[in-house]
Amino acid sequence: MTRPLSKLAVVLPLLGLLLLITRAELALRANNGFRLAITGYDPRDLLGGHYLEYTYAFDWQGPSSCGSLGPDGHPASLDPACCVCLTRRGDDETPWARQVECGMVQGCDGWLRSAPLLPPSRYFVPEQHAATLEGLLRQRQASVEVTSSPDGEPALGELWLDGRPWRELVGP
Amino acid sequence: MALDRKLARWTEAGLISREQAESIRAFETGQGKTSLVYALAGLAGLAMAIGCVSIVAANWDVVPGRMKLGIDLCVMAVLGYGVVRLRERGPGWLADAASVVLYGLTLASIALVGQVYQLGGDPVAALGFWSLCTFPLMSLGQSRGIALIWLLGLQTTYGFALTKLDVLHTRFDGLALAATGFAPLGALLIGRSVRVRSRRPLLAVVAERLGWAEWLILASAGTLGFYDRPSAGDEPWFLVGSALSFAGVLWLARGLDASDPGARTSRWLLLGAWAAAYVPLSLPHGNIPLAAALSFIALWYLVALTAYRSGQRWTLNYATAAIGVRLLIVYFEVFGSLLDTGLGLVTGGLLTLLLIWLWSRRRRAFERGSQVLAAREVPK
Repeated sequence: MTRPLSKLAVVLPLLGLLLLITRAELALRANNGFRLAITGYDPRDLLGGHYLEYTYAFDWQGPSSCGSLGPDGHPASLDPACCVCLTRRGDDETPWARQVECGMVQGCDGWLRSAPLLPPSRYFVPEQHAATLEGLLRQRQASVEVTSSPDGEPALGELWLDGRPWRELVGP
Repeated sequence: MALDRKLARWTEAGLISREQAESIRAFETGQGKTSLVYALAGLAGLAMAIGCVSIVAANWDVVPGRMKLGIDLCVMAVLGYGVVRLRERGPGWLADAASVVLYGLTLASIALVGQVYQLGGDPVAALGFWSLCTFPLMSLGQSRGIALIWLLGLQTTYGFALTKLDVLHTRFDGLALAATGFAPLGALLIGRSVRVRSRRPLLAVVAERLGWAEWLILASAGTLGFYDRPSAGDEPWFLVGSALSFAGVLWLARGLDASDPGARTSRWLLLGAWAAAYVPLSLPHGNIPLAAALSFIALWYLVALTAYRSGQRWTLNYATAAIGVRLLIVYFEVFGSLLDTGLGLVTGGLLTLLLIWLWSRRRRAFERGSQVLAAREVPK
């Protein structure tokens, strides 16, 4: 009785981990990646632990229909009950965005639920490069590769600074 | 040393023979050594588990992310194999230490997946997944240390989930506040469960002690509500949560043995602690420092009484100290206008005298009771 239970006890964490990895790999391979512009969340302190804290800087274009809207007709802020509809422009350009009801995302090139995009978002960075990256994030145009899972959850890829992967700028 | 002195005293008094004294000494020394080994092994396991989390947090850049995950999975598999073998062949302390390392490594690995794939980091989801995956692993633990680490891990997950409930909707502030009490009550329910007591007696002991300690801390903190109560206490959901916790208290009180004087007082302590934790937060009132002090002292008087009737000398001493410290704080609180200071000092002094009188009476009776108990417990 103890032996099968102790085997299950040690196999379960391994299986759980494999499940997480598989899910993350599938999300990354979804081939619907967008490069979204980002800015530091708190300009005084961009670094929280070993991650950069940022917020998405969407290029709002076209009519948004969900959440509170500003005088220009664009969302005043992200509403956790809504979704962000993305329209692709070019490979290196950030997409246009609209905030819409989550039931109205059929015509979008890609879509993300607004709730997981609420600031502050985090990008994990190596301990030894954290301070350098914090400085670079202040000086350069930053963007991050985002793919969307079928249920609108974002999966993050590479961090770009002035259109180049961050590792090229930081060096070894 | 204390044991040697007691054994010498009992031998001189003719209560036990020299052989019996030697047997008791050998038994107690052996018990102490085993407990020490388990405690040290648990500590080493915990240190290694925290070390794993720290290494992952450093996000070492030299090794590519997927290779890190591969190495991590291999280490987990080897450690898991070790746990299975050690559970079969022993020693038990090493099996428990390895389980604690695997427990921590699982959390670190979940964090590593989040780091490599930039999952953003929802701590509630990560902790919930961790608790779920490691439930059978930790349930097989054989020592008090592993039981404590597991229960604290589960409670941490629960605490984070409550903060999420708070963030989800401000309407649930009250429920989140009231549900804080579910953690100690849950531990007490585990500790009192007949099934757990028969299958995992050490887990039951640890859960019950942890539950009591947390329940009293919560109740003590609740008395501070007489100074300033949070607005969440006005919400209907707070009442719902309070009612649920009251139902839990009644359930626990029902299961206590009515023939045992200590257990009978425990019932009152459970109810009194519930009142101290929830009533100051739910009733509208102004700043009433005297009510805060009196409710705290009443609560710890119940603790002392329960300890006294159960023969728990250490708890009785702690309760006395808690009341003494609270009285000291009352003296500092009363300094204000001359009238306030005067009334406060007189009230504080009267309370102190009352307490000393009660204690001196109870203490003598307790000492007599302890001597009778000690004489009864000596092996024949």
